[in-house]
Amino acid sequence: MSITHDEVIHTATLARLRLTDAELDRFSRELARITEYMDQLKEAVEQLGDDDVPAVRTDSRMTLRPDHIEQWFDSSVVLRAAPDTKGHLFRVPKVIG
Amino acid sequence: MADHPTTGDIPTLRAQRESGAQTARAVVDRYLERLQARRDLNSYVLVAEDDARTAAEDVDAGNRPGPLAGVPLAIKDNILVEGQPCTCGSRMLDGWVAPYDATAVARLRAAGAVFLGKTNCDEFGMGSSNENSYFGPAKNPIDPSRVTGGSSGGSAAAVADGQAMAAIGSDTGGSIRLPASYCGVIGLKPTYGAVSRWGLVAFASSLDQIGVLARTVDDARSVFHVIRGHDPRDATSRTDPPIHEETRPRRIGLLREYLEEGLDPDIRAAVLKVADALKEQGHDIVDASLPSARYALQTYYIICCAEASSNLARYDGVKYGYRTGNAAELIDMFEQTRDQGFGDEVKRRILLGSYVLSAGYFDQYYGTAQRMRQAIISDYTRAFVEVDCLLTPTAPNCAFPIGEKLDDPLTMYLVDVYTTSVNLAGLPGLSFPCGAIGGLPIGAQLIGRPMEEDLLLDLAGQVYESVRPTITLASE
Repeated sequence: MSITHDEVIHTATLARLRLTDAELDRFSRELARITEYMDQLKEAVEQLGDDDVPAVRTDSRMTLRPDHIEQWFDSSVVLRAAPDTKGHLFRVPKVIG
Repeated sequence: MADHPTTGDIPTLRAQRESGAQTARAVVDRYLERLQARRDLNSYVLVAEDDARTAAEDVDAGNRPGPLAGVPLAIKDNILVEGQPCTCGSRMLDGWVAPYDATAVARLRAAGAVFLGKTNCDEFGMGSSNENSYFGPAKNPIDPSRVTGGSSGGSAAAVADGQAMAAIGSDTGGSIRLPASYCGVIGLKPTYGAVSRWGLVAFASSLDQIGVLARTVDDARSVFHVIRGHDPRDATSRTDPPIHEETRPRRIGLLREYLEEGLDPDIRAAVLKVADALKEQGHDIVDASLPSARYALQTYYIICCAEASSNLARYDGVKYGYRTGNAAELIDMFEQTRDQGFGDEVKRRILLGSYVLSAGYFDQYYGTAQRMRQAIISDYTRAFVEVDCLLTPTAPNCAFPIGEKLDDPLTMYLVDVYTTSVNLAGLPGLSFPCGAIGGLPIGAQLIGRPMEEDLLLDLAGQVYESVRPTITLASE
């Protein structure tokens, strides 16, 4: 079941993307084809045997670094990259209309 | 006599510099001259002339000794170099300056390397042709009407064209190997976790890996040996040592699923020629199979889009990067910023990723893809009981004309058909030129066990001279 035009509108809202009508039409067509292609996977996975799918990922490994404070940037370095700031704060348009 | 930038390699450079035959500054000047003369290829989005000359003078003053002293390198523009802009080929980061070095860059710097600039790439690494760049497509130096491959297209073109001795790229689903194949250079995508991702702008974090593009196998190895190794700043960085056993006959599997129907007969013949050359070196060539490999592409695009939609949520116009100029309210600002800051392919993947993670579709798409990813890993694990590495084509085609696939995203995705399973399984993959069709290079791919990059480099090194095509660059 491929993605519908309405689902693309809903997904764009979730993803905080404002799309023009022309973009919505084009993306709906393209994504419908792509999700149709992706749908082939479901049937293939249903045919997998249990030994194809180990319960625990065997390749994952994570090594967390020691939990200690490290000197990093001064906050002014970070703030310099922001589009708008005031003092030590990021400034944004009003949140509540 | 100094080498031309298109033919120099790291050992020759080192010997000439150490004997006093030429200075690092003179070498860097020659490369800068070359890349300025070839600006029409759009390989670089930033040329750091002053920084490069200063760094070369430091090498000549004896202040920067190391295995890569004075070696002129290019860095893909999604990897941070302190003090230099890093755009990721996106309007979203146009003008943003990196406040620190990526670990790979810091290691190259400590090894004496000189950075010429930042190379063009598909926006945030999303693309197979380098046409999805805010700065326009990089052009193939062999035929500028054709794509370089992507996403590390600028890096591959710069190396092929003598605009850098070697380059750093990143590979999420083939983004080093594919452009290496299309531009006729060597491309190494290391084991996931072999090279730190600290300072690589995230696209799909479980797949992204920094690697090397070079003109010789030895140069690829030299650069890789500098950038690899554990880094506590990347929690997925591996702590186990690389494996490099003595040279001995190996069993090499010809991957059946990647050589069957639909493959261009010239590409199949070129890959089989590599198998013959390996056989002549004393290795066994056997048949190998990965039954789940035919589903790698669907699996890859679900997982990479899901991860991209999450990683790219950070671009909201608040902390850094582009912000729209005409929004009255916060949500309006988010939406307009992201619509204006991102290009089409990035939006497409954010939409796909948000969709496959959304309520009602998560199990159908993302959950299913994770199961298939495990099946692919299991298939590789089983294959590597029988063989030491696998041989495949890198791509189903050679470099195609710019614009040919731009209106058909699904067809564009299909060029990654032989590379994505390697990222899903976290394995090392090496592409090297093994033939040509009408002057356009063909790439062969060797896939190895985790941390066995050196075996892949050894094997490629044994046959490279006998299989490499003669490549003619487009005239200046």
